[in-house]
Amino acid sequence: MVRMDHADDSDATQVAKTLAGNQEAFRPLVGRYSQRLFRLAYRIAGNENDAEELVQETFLKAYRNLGKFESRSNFGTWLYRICANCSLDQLRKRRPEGVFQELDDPEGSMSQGDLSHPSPSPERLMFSTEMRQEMEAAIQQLTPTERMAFALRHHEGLGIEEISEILGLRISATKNAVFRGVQKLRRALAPFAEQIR
Amino acid sequence: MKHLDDQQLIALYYGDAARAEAIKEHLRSCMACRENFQALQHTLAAFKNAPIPERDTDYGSQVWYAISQRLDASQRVSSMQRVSRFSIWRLAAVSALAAMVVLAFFAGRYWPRKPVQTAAANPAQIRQGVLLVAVSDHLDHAQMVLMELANADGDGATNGTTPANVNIATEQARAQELLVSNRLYEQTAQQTGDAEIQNILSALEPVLLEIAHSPNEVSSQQFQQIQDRIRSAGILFKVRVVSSDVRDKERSLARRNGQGQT
Repeated sequence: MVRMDHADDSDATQVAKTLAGNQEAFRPLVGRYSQRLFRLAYRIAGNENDAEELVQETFLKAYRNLGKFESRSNFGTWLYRICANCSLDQLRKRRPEGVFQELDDPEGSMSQGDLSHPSPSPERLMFSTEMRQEMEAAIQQLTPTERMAFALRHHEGLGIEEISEILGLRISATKNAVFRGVQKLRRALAPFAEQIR
Repeated sequence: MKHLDDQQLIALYYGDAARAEAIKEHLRSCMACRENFQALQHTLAAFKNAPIPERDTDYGSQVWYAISQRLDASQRVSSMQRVSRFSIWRLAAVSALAAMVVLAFFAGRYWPRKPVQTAAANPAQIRQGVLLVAVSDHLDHAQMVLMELANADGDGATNGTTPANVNIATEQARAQELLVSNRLYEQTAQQTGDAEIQNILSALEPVLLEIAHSPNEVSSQQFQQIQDRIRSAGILFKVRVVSSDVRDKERSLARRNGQGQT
């Protein structure tokens, strides 16, 4: 499980120095969190260019809003929250209105039919690259919030409480986002269950 | 017990299940649920193993390099938000003046030349005059900031702060304003080919930058370093010399223009 509290003391010191006007003090924070942010951003954006852009945008926003960071908080969690917001903005800008169904849709009305995509022949799935494409297509079917919740829970190993803090959601809504995300991925890949085993 | 639903299985997978033992017990006795859980595990494992493009070990440095220039800009923006209305108008006036000089420069270069020279001031003289007046004013302000810092006690007593710290917020804000106009005039001097002005503005920039990017309150030691920087670069002396030259040129140009018009 990836936790981000190992460097808290050092993070707080660097933040304090940066706030005191030492711009260079921000540099170790960039060095410390760039790789992790890139991994998260890539899982959300799905391509390297957008992911790199998201990483830079996250640090710029963090720098500009450093005064709002509470020293008692976890700097990594705070960065993730900024990255989450940047990612959600980016995803929403890229897709036309109404394509995503967000968490405020209480019934989760997206049906299995919504997740369907052309069924590939079994031969296609023999190739791992094609399997990867299927998985990426499945990820694309998730709403931005579900995608973020899934990435944080599944890949980053964060707890529900921390994810709810990052996404600014209630605990129940966060659990629901993870659940719905996993459920959609399962449904999307159900035809290929044999290849996955 | 009825079959387990997806929500229970997903919660179990992530270790979030409220009744984990009961669910596990059910899995041991129910083949259908066990197979369903195994399918879930396989699907999620496939996503876990999905490759992520590797970044270089110095990726952090690359990101820092990419954003550091923009951090400068954002710092200037936030400092600009602190400057007074008067300062904003002053900055606008400086920008307009610099634009006039550049305009005069290009007008002089591309305007069709008349075959007969008149005695009135030509565009080159006009643009030089505008630049000299603006730079003269700019160097005076820079000199004042540098002198205030160079001659201050450094014990913070006059600024109402603790003896260990020195408040340079006022000089810092002025240095930030001067930095913007310094860059504009330096570009203009480069375009008009005035090497002396360009050189002094180029030498002034790092000193202004250091002051502008210092914290509002600095320790006595940091303050001493700023003073040492001002003294060691001899920047105050250079500014005085060039400022004096600029005034001489300004007066000389005014006399020539006056003679030409009579």
